Amino acid sequence: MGYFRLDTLSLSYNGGKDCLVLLILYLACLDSHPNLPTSLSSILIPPPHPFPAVDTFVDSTSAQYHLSLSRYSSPSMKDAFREYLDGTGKNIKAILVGTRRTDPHGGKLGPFDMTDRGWPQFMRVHPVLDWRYAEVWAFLRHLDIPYCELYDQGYTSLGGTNDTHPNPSLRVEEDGVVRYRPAYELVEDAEERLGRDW
Amino acid sequence: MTGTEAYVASRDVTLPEPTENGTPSPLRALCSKLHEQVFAFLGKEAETEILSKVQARCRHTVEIINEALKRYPYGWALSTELNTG
Repeated sequence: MGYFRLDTLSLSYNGGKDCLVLLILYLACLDSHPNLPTSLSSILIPPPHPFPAVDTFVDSTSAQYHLSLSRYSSPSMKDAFREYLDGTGKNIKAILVGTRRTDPHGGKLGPFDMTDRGWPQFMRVHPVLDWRYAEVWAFLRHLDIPYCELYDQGYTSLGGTNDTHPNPSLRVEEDGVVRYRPAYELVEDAEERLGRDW
Repeated sequence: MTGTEAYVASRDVTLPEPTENGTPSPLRALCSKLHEQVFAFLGKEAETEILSKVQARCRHTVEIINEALKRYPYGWALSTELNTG
């Protein structure tokens, strides 16, 4: 006779600003939940060429926020989720995802969406779908939530080192020296991904 | 059925949350702290228009997360091996 975990809900966490908002509110909601595990099921599918600063941030916040983070480096997101759900996430029925409406493929999503045909089947839950870019930053800064240092170097949307640059809208040149203002100074949602190559 | 032909059955029983030496787990303490912080923010009159919008977003997000927690529960259960021999 013994205890076993009955986890059916997981979190997709990559250290980015959107899933950080999601994580903080998820943890706040769990306070009224009667029966918590010792750590929270979560999954990370990093890009093929991750930023060391993002890796460091993910490691430190996984410990700080008690995440039991399963990492999958498969180039195919579909294969990574399949491996997760066949393995450590075998009880998982739903995954909280930090997708926002302005993200690629985010336009037609609802709060609860099953994965598409041909994908491993699970419910995608999108609690921050309708947050605007400036609202994400207002939340993190008002509540003084630590975030990845790359955002203070002008990165506004984090992918891999091969396809992500500081946002040109935040570029400042003074006396021949180029610098980038912090991500929270960007206002327009439409400019969020100007530092991404795709 | 004899003892040597025992079979294993299981049933799920919701149990109290495990504690560490009788004190709440570190995760529970963290959730309480963030709950207090977030709901203190939601309970205050917003100082700016954008913070007012953020409060509305937070409330909606909390509704969705709570709905997800209702549909997809977290927790611990008891596995019971029954020897009916």
